[in-house]
Amino acid sequence: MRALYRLLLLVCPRAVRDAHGAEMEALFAECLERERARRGRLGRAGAVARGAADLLMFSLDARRDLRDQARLRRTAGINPDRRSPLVTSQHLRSTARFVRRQPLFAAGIVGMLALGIGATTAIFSVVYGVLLKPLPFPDSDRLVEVRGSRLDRGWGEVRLTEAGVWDLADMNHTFESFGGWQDVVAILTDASGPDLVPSAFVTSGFFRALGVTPIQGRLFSPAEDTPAGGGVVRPVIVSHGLWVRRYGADPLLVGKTITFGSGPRTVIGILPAGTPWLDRADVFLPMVRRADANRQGLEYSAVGRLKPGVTIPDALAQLTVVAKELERRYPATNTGLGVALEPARSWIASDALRQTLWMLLSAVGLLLVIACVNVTNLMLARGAAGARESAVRTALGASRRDLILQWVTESLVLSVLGSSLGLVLAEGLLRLMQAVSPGDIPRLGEASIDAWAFIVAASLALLIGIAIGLAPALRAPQGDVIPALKQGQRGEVGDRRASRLRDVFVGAEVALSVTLLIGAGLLVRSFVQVLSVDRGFASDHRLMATVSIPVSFPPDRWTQMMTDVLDRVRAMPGVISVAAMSGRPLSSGTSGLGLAAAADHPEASNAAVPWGTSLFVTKDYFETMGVPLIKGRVFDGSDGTEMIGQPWRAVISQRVADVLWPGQNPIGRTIVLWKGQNDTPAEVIGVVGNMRAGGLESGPTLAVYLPGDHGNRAVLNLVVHTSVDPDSFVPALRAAVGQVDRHLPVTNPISMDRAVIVSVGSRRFTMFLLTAFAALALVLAVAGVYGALAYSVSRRTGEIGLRLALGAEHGRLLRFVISQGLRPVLIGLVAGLTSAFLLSGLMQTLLFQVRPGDPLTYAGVAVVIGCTSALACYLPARTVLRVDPATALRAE
Amino acid sequence: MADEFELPPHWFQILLALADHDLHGLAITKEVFDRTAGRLHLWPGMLYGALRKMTGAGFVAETSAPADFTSGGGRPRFYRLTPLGRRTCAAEARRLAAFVAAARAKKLIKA
Repeated sequence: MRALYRLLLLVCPRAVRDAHGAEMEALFAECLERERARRGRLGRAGAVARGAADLLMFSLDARRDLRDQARLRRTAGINPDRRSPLVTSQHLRSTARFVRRQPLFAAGIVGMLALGIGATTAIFSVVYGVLLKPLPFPDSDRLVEVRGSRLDRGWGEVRLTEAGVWDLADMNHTFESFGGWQDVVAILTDASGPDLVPSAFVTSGFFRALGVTPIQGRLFSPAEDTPAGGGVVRPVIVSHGLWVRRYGADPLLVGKTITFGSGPRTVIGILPAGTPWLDRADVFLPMVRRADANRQGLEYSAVGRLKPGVTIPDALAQLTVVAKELERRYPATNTGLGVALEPARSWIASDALRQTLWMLLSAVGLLLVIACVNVTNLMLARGAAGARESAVRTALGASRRDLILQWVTESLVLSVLGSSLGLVLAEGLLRLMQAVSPGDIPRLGEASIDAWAFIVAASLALLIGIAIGLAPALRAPQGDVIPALKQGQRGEVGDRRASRLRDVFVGAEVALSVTLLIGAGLLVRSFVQVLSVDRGFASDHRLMATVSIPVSFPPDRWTQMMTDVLDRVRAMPGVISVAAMSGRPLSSGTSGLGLAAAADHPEASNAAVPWGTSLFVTKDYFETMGVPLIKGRVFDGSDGTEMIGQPWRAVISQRVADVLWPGQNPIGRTIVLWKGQNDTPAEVIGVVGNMRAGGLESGPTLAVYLPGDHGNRAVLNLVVHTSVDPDSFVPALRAAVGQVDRHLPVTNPISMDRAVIVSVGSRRFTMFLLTAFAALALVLAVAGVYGALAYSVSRRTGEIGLRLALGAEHGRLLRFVISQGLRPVLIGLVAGLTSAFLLSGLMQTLLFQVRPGDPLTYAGVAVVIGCTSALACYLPARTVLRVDPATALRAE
Repeated sequence: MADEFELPPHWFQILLALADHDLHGLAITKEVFDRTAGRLHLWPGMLYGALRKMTGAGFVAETSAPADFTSGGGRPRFYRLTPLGRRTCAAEARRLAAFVAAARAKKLIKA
């Protein structure tokens, strides 16, 4: 019962509790005992109730007393009680008064902080979500992706071969578990019809290495890696995404049979949600170990879980030994094949993305600093204006601590408001980023304003609030308050030190925003460069689309079907020309091949073989894509790779000709395709212009075009040159293909212009964000320039009036004021240009055909800053012209 | 001032208890309880609330414990009557005595 009473004592004000608590508790025990003696158990219960009520009344009374005392002290504006809490309601009330009196000032501060904190929090959320958030796998620091390397061809990382996966699984000593993966696409048929779903063959070790536990069912067992292993059940595992999307999270899916690929399969497990790997495919099949596993195609991925204590360099060294052994055993296929390891932390974000995101975070950090400098400047100005108020309070006996607490409370309240508003802004900015993102930033969709974002926003609010509150507080009068009282009354410009500090701040703001603007400018210039690079093909009025062929489509009808489709489309109104091709430009995934001139020494090593891309195209391809013919002829419909008895014919790009036959005429010569693999000879019949098919930023590809007019099943991408808007042509194209065969779906239609934009999507995204931040920085900095000068002019009305009265000309005075305002801007501009020049080297990899020291960008930024600042100075300076000497002097 | 207002009964009793010696809270309660034959029971909040208020009004003051004081533990606060408190208590006693005298005059009680 005493413990209960001790608990109840907590309702009392602390000071009272400290003074009397122990005695009250003892007394209560006494009362309790007495009541029990007098009235028994009932009396004791009554006493408890009575005691509690008594205590409550006492605490209410004590609180009222303390409040009254505080009010007494407050009327004097003095708080001598040094043991009072740090921030009292008095401070808060005074802050509220300040906000009520200067709502615009307060709103400006809150707005600037909200912008800075909001942008920082949003970018932080992205950086956290994309780069920092742990992977959904236990002990992921022990996970590596195992890749191959063909350093002889300049490829640091390639995929593995089928045999390579099993070789590594058998011969490594470094992994606790290891598994392979092959991407495939197959048709899933169920009640809602057939659908093409991304799938994968995985070995039983794959998910075990990742440490994944299925949310239902089981993973593949090692027995299922063997041809006989599955028995009659042909097992599949489905992804979390497919389970939810397609099966409505059916709790009984495990054990059911679905029709997938070539027949019925039994679902044995459901994976948890997550990125990467777990969402890369929707249906997983066991990868069966074949005796004659392929040693050529580089189509397999693999992951391994390192044994405890094994480092990545250790593992790489051991696996390299294995690769050397394989080279010795299979010289024909494995020569030059090495091993590369990619630690799990870079699975999500490539180095380029990592660099981009950190750059954006730094940019947004600069923006926040600019906002803070601006706010500090405003607070200092207010501090100068409030110097007299502080002096009065000091004279009345307020302690220095009190004044500082007052300043800090005000700035804290403002920064907390700014931060709360910033969180709302951050949410909006994050949504916007998710909407405009090119879609190749992994996990961006999952990023959210979560607990971490709150922590960041709250810490920023606290830090900034205290820092900007301390700045004017530390300048509060010390010791002798008489000068401050006098000075404040006369409304002078404040002391010299204050005005110099303001100049430093303005200069810093300008310097920071110049740095940001130059960064953004360089990216904009790069973007323009990328778009205007000679891409080697025309993109306007071109539409691309894919005709998806069901597995069941009879092969013998293929040529006829494709010919029909092309003829029908060609005959449509609005079509200038149409062609089919085996791969789309600007998309990865065209297969590579080694090239050689037939006259080369046959013993030339594979290492020296130039590597190019091959594309099967129909005869109108070059015309439709706008690729110019340079020499010879293009296909005329009579050339074919499937036609027995005829040699292959090839059209090559100018680069291939330059590499294989520099300075000679390549027409009629024989080129060896797939050099080192199956050495197919082909006659060169034409040379066409270079094309940046692998993306605008990579150089022109070494392209070999092969005829695809006759029965080539790879040719299923259409490209149509229209005279109408290509996007409006899509329905007509669908209809035309449907008329040939209504089972032929047209997928992924996209105008070539759009495809170009998509291919530079991440560059566009980065440019867009950095430009937005730079623009905000510019606005803040210019506002800072304006604010500082406007303040200084308003404080010097008297001086200006005096000068006018003494005969100064308006024009000269105007120039004088503007030059005073511009001086810190110029210093900041020079500092900003210098720092941008030093920092822009870090952006090198993000630039395209633009040097980090690009003079045009620097000059442009200087002009922008100069003009906007001059305007920002002119506006407050203009008030000089309106000063009436008589009024100004009277005010003095 | 001392004559101007009526003291709450428990204030009077506390002052009365302190009239001849300095006491701590528990002792005050005991004395009041005994003197009123259990009719006035001072609960902790009541007692200390009154002591705080009377300290503020200058009727009582905290004082050091007498040299011979020993306790089971802790050092309770002792209170003493101030001259103002003594006058106030006396005034209240006189006020009450006047009522008693009136009752006696009306022969309600014997002398």
